[in-house]
This record gives sequence, structure tokens and C-alpha cells, in this order.
Amino acid sequence: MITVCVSYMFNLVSLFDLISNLLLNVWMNIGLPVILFELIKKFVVAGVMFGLLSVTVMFLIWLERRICARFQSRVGPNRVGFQGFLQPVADAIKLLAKENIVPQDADRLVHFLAPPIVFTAAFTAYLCMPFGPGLIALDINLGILYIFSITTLGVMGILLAGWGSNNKYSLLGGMRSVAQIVSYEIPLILSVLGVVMLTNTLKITEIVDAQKSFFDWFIFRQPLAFIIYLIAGTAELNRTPFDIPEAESELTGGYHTEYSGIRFSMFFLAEFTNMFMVSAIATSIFLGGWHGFGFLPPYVWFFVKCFAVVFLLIWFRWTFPRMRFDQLMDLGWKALTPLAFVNIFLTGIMIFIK
Amino acid sequence: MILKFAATIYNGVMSLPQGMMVTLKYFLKKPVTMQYPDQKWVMPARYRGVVSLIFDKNTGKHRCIACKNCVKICPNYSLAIETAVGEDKKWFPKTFTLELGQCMFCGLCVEICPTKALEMNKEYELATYTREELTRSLLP
Amino acid sequence: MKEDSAQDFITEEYLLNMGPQHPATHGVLRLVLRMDGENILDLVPDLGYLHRGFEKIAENRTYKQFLPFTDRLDYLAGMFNNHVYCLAVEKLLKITVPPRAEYIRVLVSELNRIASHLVWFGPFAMDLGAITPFLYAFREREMIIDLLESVSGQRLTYSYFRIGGVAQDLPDDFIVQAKAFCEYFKPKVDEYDTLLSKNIIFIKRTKNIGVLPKELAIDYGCSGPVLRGSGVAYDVRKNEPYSVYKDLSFDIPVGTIGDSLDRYNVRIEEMRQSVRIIEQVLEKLPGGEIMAAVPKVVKPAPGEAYARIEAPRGDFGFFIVSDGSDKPYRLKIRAPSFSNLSVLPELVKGLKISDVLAVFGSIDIVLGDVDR
Repeated sequence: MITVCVSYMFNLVSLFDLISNLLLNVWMNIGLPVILFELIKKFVVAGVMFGLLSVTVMFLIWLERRICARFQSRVGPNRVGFQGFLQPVADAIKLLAKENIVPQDADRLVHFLAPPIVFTAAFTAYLCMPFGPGLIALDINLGILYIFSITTLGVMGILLAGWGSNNKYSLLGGMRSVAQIVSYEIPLILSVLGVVMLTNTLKITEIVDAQKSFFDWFIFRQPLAFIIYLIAGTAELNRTPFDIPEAESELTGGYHTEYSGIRFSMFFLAEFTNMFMVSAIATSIFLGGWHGFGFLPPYVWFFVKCFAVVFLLIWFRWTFPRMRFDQLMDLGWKALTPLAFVNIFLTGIMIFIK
Repeated sequence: MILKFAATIYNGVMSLPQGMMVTLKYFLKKPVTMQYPDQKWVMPARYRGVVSLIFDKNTGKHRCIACKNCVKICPNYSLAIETAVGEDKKWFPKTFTLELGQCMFCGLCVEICPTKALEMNKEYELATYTREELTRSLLP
Repeated sequence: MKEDSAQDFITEEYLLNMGPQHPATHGVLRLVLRMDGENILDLVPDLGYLHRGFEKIAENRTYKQFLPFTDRLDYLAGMFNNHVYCLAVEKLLKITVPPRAEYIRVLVSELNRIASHLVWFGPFAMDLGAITPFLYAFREREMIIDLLESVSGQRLTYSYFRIGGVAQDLPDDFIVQAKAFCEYFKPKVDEYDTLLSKNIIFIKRTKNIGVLPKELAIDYGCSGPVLRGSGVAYDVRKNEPYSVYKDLSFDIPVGTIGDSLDRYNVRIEEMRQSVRIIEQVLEKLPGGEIMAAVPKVVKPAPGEAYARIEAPRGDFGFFIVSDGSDKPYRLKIRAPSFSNLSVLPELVKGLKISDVLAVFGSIDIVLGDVDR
């Protein structure tokens, strides 16, 4: 019995198949059409994924606050629940109960639309993210391309938020964000391109499968690409040292200055969802995805690696000062993009020699 | 020239992990903060809290002679005394009120008191729900 | 066709109100920025949100009563405010303060200077986006505040000095604790260097930003680290020594070109020098009285007196006119922050909005001092 349980723990996919087949049998016995079942199954999967992600993001918020507190010789939230575990939940409830303030001269439609766009873009990206072998909602051939393009869509929401709030700080923040994300998207994708050249595929599951053993991880074959990815990824997330769109000491919060209540919480959740996304991509592409060293189920290995990258991002954030806007552009265009090209060139030579 | 340039870049880049090591050092150390409502700060002996009259432990009497020196020295006029003459022909304070909202805890009243009847206690949680509660009587 | 599209693309200047409620204006200062995109064309500081009219209050209080009010001027450096006020009144009364009191005054003042500089250091880092140094600075400041609390009984509004001396002698274990603090603090400054001063991002943000030339600094009446950052080695402690600074050895750090980084380095170095002064004072501390003989009612003869000291923010002065009564006839406060702030519009022209904070933070004003 225990061995069966353990084997299912290691192979969640077969567990899911088992449950779904059982339910399907019941469904068939009642005499309902199979298509409807498949449809409902899709919704349930989406719902479960959304719920799990939300919990992960909540955990991430707690983690960030605790870790940053320790970096600063503080304790951090430790009152609500065990060690403050439920603090994000309490915060979320507080935000949901708050009034939604719309500024008087705001463009109401745009102001309303911005948070859902950012939120949706952040969450739909997980569609192509493999959490373990087979644990992927939609295994399409253009996985990487899909993820990068859908996360970039979020910037539109940020621009809309900046524009719709009718606040100069918000507008400045939105404009900065667009400029930043557009210019950092290029080194980000170029850095991943080296890996794609080596594996000849854009499908994330295949890339992960190419790094079965420890020394096959692409961080060892593409160290430069990993560093570029990490820097560009931090910039994509609008986190310190690249948090100029939010820059609370300059722009009092940037694009979400005028948002409150549930809309603000959408921005907030999206930010942390994106943070987890960046570390998930880094894990899948450079750190061998779900491939671990045994004794733990693959998806646990995946999360362990993800949180290691998240820790690194948090560490960056609570150590460095913020860069200036033009310095940021300098770094992006004059350093990271050429370096990414150099990396691609070197990778090409490597492949050619082989 | 190129070497110098490379050295600048190297130093610049290396400054980042050095800074990160400092934060890591404190990450591994224990927090220094105090968990306020659970742990409370021990106030130093000279802490200047709320002005109060000293009552003798045994007799329960204070030493105020209603000379009003404290009322006169108070920079914010936050103390008020109504005097009366007792049966023994001595002055005593009938009312002695402190307007806590006006007090700036300078301690001049304690210093000037000729009979050392006043002290500043160690109270520091002084928030109240209403404005009226800020007016305190020093007499029981 | 081409001309039309060029005409359509019209850029406008706009006004940006930074403050009075803004996370980086350190209190209630309003900066009105005239901007072209991210570039600043002009800046006008708008003051007065914290004006409490201390100069007028002083005319209605006796000399002894006014002392607690001085704490609230530059609320981060209460000891200095007490000190300069006492010096001015002592000049009027022609009192000499006993040596032990003088040494104690210097001791607590220098501790307060470190605390005050730490409160500058933390928020300055925070203005530039690094939040962790802020908490480190406050951690160290907490220890100084505890020390000063054990001496005076309050954490910020000390009211510790009296006309003619100090209120109370040092507590028993103060000297031991102060020595321990000095030992603790010295490596911390080096740590700040590693964490922030040597950080490439920080240097990029502050170097050659907000350059204040020597002449301009003198013309605007800047003082303190702002002036010294521009390369003028002027310090009241050296140039017009008051109290016992004559007997103490310390250096005056100066900058070279007067940018934000120079002002930053000057302050960091000043913290080290303050530790040096504290250690000397702890060695030399004489015994004896802590109060001179001061009449019960302070009634100076008609006349006037001006006293000044080197506060953390610069040359801090009190001018008192006495008409022979127990209240000052007129009291004028020369606040360093006010003069230092006035130079800000000159420094930020043509810079970016992010640089305003790098410059503004490096000037280090306290609004209680500016508005009085």
C-alpha cells in the first residue's frame, strides 16, 4: 500500500489519470457525453493550476518578506498563523475588503482594464511550464516563444495603468516600464537562443529532457547566457536594481500609484507570479528542470530549484541600490545585447566544431 | 589603457558580490529587533515619562505644597493647580491636572520642585481613544 | 505631409509636484519641478509646512523655558540645538562652564552627530533604492539613542543641557558602554563602505551628479558637509573653536569637486572622526562640577550675543537680543539646512528626476530645521 502511494507521489501524472478514469467511468454510467467530460476536465485542471499557483505566489510573498527581514536583521511577519504563514492571506483579505478608488479624471475604462491584463498575462504563461514529467497543461512546440510573448503582453497593462490613472507619476512609471521591458526582452530571448541552438527545439519539455544528468545542465555549457538571463530577467520583473518603473522613492509607486483594493492586489500578485515565472524558466532551461538527484519526486526538485533562483532574486533586491533610467538603457543595449550576441556566436562555433 | 578599463569593470562587477556577502552575513545572524508587545524595553532610570506626584509608600501622602513653581516653569502651560488652605494652615493642591497633549516631557517641573514632590514615571504607552482622557489628574 | 507630422509631435513642459507628501522629501517639503519628459528644467522648493514659529515663541518664554523648544528645531540633533542655545545665553550672562560639563557636552554632541549622520545615511541609500542599509544604519543608531537616553532620559528631544552646564552627571556605566559602542561602530562604517560606497551602481548614481562648485557654495552660504564636500575646509570646530574642541585632535574631511559622492564621503569620514573625538573625550574626561553658578532667574544685562557651532548639517547659530528682562527680546536662529536647501535649484537643472533624489539626499536637510 505504502509503496503504491509513494510511487504515485513520484508519478503524479498516473495518479491524475487514475482519478480521471474513475470519474469518467462514473460519468459514462450516468450516460453523459464524453465531450462534456473532457471540457469540464479542462476547466478543473485550469482551476487547480490557478489555485496552486495562487498558493505558491502567496507563499512567495511570505518568503520574500521573511527573507528580506532576515537580510535586514529583522524578524518579518510572524503573527498570523505559524511563523506568519497566513500573512499574505490576511493581506489579501484586507485588500479585497478595501474600497476601489478611481481618480476623478481617470480614463475609467483603461483604468479598469489594466490590472486584469497584467494579471492574465502573468498567469496564462504557466500554460506551457512543465512542473514535472507530464505535468504540463499544454505541451506545444513553441513553448519558449509562447511564454516570452505572453509575459511581454503584461507590459501593455502596465502602460494602460500608467495612462489611465491620469497621474504624472503613473505615466512616467508606465513609460519607463515599456522602455525597459522592450529593451530587455531582446537580451533575454537572445540568451535563451544559445540553448535553443544546442537542443534544436523550442519545446520546453525537450529542452529539460536534454539535461538529464547534472553536468548536462545548460548553466555549465552556457554560463554567460545564464548570467545575461538572470540580469535581463530581473529587469523584466521590475525588481531592484532595475525597479525604476515603481521606484517608490522617485515615483511613489509608479504605475500602481492610483490603484487600491482588489486592483492593486492584482498588480501585486502578477508581480510575484512573474517572479516565479522567471525563476521557473531559469530552472527549466538552465538548471535541468525537474531532473534532480533522486529521493524526491521530480516536481519537488523543480520547486526547490525555483526557490533557489527566487532566493537569488530576493538577495539582489535587498542588497543593491536602484539604477538610473539612462544607465539601465546603457546596460541593456551596450552591454547585455552585444554579450548575448557574442554568446550566440560562440555557441555557433561550438556547434560547428562538433 | 585596456588593462585599466578591464580593471575598472572587474572592480565594479566584483563590488556587487562583496555587497551581497555583507547582507548574507546578517541573513545568517540572529535578528536584532525586539518583538514589541511580547518583549518590552526596560526603561533607563532617567527615562522621562508622564509627570506624576510621588506618594509615600507608607503614609500614602504626597509632598506637594502647592507653590506653583512647576506651573510657572512649564513651557507649554500644561500643568494647572488649584490651591486651598488646609486645617493646619498649610497650602495644599485641591486639583492638580496635567494636559498630556500639551506636555513635551522636558522635565523642568521635576527639576524645579522645591520639595521633590514630582517625578517622571516610566509610562510610555500614552495613546488614548478620546481627547478628554489626555487631561490627567495627578491627585488620586 | 512631413511638416504636418512634425507639427503634430509637440512636446510640452509640465509641472510635477514632489511632495509635500512624497516618500523621498524627508518630511513635508514640496518641490515643484518643471520638467521636460524626465529632464528637469527648473526646481522651486516650497517651504513652510513645518513652520512652528519658534523665534516668536522664544519672545514669550523665559530663558530657561525656551530650552526644551530648541530640541525640536533640528530634531535629529537635539544636543546641538541645546548646545548652541546654551552657548548664546552663557555669552549673555558671561558664565564659564566647568570643564567636566564641557567635556560631557562634547561627548554627547559627537554621539549625536553620529546618530544624525546615520539617519542621513540610511534614507540616502533608500532614496537610491537600497533599503537594507537603512535598517543597518538604524540598528546602529538605536545603540546611540539608548546611550543618550540613559544620559538624558529621552531618545530624541533630550533637553539635557542647561544654561551653565548639563542637567545631570553621566550615569555610572556610561563610559564603559560608550567605549564598547566605539569598538562596535568602527568596523560597521567599513561595512557600509563595502555595502554601498564601493558599489558600482551607487557610484554611478552619485558621481558627477549635482556638482556644487566652491564659489557657488560660498555664495549661497552653504556650510557643513555640503561646503566641505566642495573642497572648502571650513569647520566651526576648527576655525572658531568652541567648548573644548581646541584640545581634541581630529581631521576635517574635504571633497574635491563637490558632487553627491563627495558629500557622501565627507559624512562617512566625519562619522569616523566623531568616534575618534569620543574616544579622546572618554580618555580625558575630568572630574568636578557639572553646573556653573547660575542665578535662579536668568536675567541677562541688555545686550546681544551670537553663538555658533558645527551641527551635523552645518554652521548653526543663535542670535539673542536681551532687553534686561527674563525673556529674550529677539531670538534669531541661523539654520544650516535652510541655506543648504537654497542651493538645490542650482544643482538639479538639466538632471533627471532620479538624480534629484541623489542630490537632495546628499544635501541632507531636516525640515524642522528649515522651517523652524
